[in-house]
Amino acid sequence: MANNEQNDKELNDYLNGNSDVSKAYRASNKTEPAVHLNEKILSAAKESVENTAHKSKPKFHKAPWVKPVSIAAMITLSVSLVVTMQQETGQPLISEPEVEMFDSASVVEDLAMPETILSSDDASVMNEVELKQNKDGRVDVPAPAALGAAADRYRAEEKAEAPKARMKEAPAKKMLLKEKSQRQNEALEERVFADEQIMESAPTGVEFDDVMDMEQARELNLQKDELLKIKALWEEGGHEEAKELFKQFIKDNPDFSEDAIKKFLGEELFVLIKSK
Amino acid sequence: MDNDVSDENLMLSYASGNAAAFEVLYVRHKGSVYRYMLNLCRNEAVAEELYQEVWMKLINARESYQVKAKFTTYLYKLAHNQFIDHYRKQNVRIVVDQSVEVEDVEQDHLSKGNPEKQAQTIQTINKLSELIASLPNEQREVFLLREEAGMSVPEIAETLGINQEAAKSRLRYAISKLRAGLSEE
Repeated sequence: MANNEQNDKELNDYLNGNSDVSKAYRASNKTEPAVHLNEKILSAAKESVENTAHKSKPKFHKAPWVKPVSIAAMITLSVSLVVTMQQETGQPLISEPEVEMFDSASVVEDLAMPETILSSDDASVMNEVELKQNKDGRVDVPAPAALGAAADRYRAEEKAEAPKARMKEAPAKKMLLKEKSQRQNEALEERVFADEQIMESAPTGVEFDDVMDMEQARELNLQKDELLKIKALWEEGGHEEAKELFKQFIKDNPDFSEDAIKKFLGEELFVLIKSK
Repeated sequence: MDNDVSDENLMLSYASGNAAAFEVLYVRHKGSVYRYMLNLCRNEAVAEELYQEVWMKLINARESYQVKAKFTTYLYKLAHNQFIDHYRKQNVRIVVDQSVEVEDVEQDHLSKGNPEKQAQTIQTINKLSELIASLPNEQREVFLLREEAGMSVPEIAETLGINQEAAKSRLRYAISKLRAGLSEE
């Protein structure tokens, strides 16, 4: 117990600065670090500050606002480019699905159209379908089954080559193609409308020229029968009745030539009926 | 740089990029840290290596420095950890270099006074050095923190991460041994 009290007293004296131990230690220990250590540490401290100063300089590519601004600039440029192209072409932009639908549908329409309005791109389809032309230029439309098969083949080829083509096509070329397709579509629609009107007035399965020829032939036959009837009546003695019929015939058919009448009545009878 | 500026403000100034503040701070504490490390290691080469590493750690940690305690507590905690880490890695017992303290005696101080007293002082210093070296590491470190860093018992306890009673007890034993050793002449 007495020992502990002694230790506590020594400690308190020491802590109050009244210890011989402390005085002896302070008197003896004046050792300092070597000069080269001081220089090394101080230069390291300065270097660290300089390096941090270099690092803290704002670097353009590391600034936090660079990414959002870059994205915004890219979007703005893209939109302005598209709008400019749209204004230059004067055509509204066609979305990708619309273009594909148009291309598929136009194949069938192209097959039904005369060859003259088809573009060179459609030549392969025309060859496959083997459209047959008559001597007078008429086109025999192939059976719907043949059309369907050709169209399916065309679509399959189109789908297979579409990705490659899209990769190669520049945006400007794409716009030109869309424009061309639209013009072609309009031309096809006009042609289809005109043909539909013609077909509505014509008999089914018969060409218009043939109908006209038959009509004329039928009328000619009627006229021939009329003249032969007049001739028979004259020969049977019904002169007055024959003359009345002849006058009526001339009146009804003013364009019928005298030569044609002479051919059917004979020149002598023609002169007699006309003179009396 | 004003000498009245506190250690904490100097360190904050250095953290913000003022290299001159570090120089003032270094001049203030270089001797005491070095002696602390030298007396703790008892080997000059190791002490220099550890001393340099302590300051390098302080330099590298400057940007993250925050005033949570006295700067000396922060600095000597770095030194203490450096010492502990070194000897854990080496896994060796601390070898006492008895030649250190004799060389470290300040000759100017000894030259004052009469020759008899000089001889007695040298004898006392050498004896004290031997006694310090013979202290257990824990007691020696507590004593050095008090003498070199001028720390109070609570500050010593905080620096070493021990409770105050333990710090006080270690210091009490250290002082008692040293006094007993010196009075054995």
